[in-house]
Amino acid sequence: MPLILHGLTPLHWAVGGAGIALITLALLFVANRRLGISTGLEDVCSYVLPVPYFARDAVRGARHWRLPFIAGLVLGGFLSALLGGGFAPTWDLGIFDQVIGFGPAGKLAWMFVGGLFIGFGTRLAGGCTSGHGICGLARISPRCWLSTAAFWGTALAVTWLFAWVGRR
Amino acid sequence: MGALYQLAFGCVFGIVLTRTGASDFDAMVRMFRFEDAHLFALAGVTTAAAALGLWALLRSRWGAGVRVVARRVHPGSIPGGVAFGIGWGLSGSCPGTALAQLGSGHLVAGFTVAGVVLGNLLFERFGRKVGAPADVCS
Repeated sequence: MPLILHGLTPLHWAVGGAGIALITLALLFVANRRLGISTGLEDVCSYVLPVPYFARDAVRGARHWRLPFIAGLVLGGFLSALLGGGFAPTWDLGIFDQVIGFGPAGKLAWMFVGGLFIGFGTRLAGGCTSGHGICGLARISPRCWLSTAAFWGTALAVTWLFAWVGRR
Repeated sequence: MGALYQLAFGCVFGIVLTRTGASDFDAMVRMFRFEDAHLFALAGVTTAAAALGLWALLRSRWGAGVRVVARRVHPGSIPGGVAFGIGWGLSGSCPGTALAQLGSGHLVAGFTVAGVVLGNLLFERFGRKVGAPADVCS
């Protein structure tokens, strides 16, 4: 199935999976870093709210690599668009617009609320899809397996709930 | 120099997330609705390849300096995962894919990222009593 982005054909899952695994291993091998994103976003908070909690070592001590890494993610998305047919900013969002609709303001509010849950939840769990889901599963960390099961299961249920509500 | 390496790593990660459809709202919905196994397969291959690669790396002579830690379950593990899962289901993105989405020109992701940052701030104010891990896995 084509991507929303320029209707591109997605990379094969085996190629993509091997690629992400290689990045995870390269981070460990080259720099001894365990892949993770959400803590980098937590560090962004330390610029917004200068409190001791965000300045603790687990967060700020890793600033020198987490911040360039998450900046790279944005750049990677940008390059993909540029090379895949041009950078064309849009407010559209595929299936969302058809099933849930809600108008432009409603959609932005929806995403913002989604983000709130992500931000709060990843801090409470101590990780997200990359730290718990990819790196944590690979290194057989019990906390990561438990949290990963919880967020996959919940996200699946939430998607089915909204698909069900959207159809009525 | 180290920062440039990390920028490059992040950039490659962003390209893979975007081009595989991991940061694609429709692909995410199709996975959760069991309409398309593409992202399930991607997640499976990623985890298996990373686990096997890590196992091999740790047993090779290059693995001597690599530190791998397994973290114990804490009180926030399940409720935190559930809260994050609600956000994932609502927005169709996680912290990493939201950033890649934003870069690729999906402006709605800017609101997701802003929500994540405010969610972190709210956690600092109201969530820490629930039981936050001192260390992080992400």
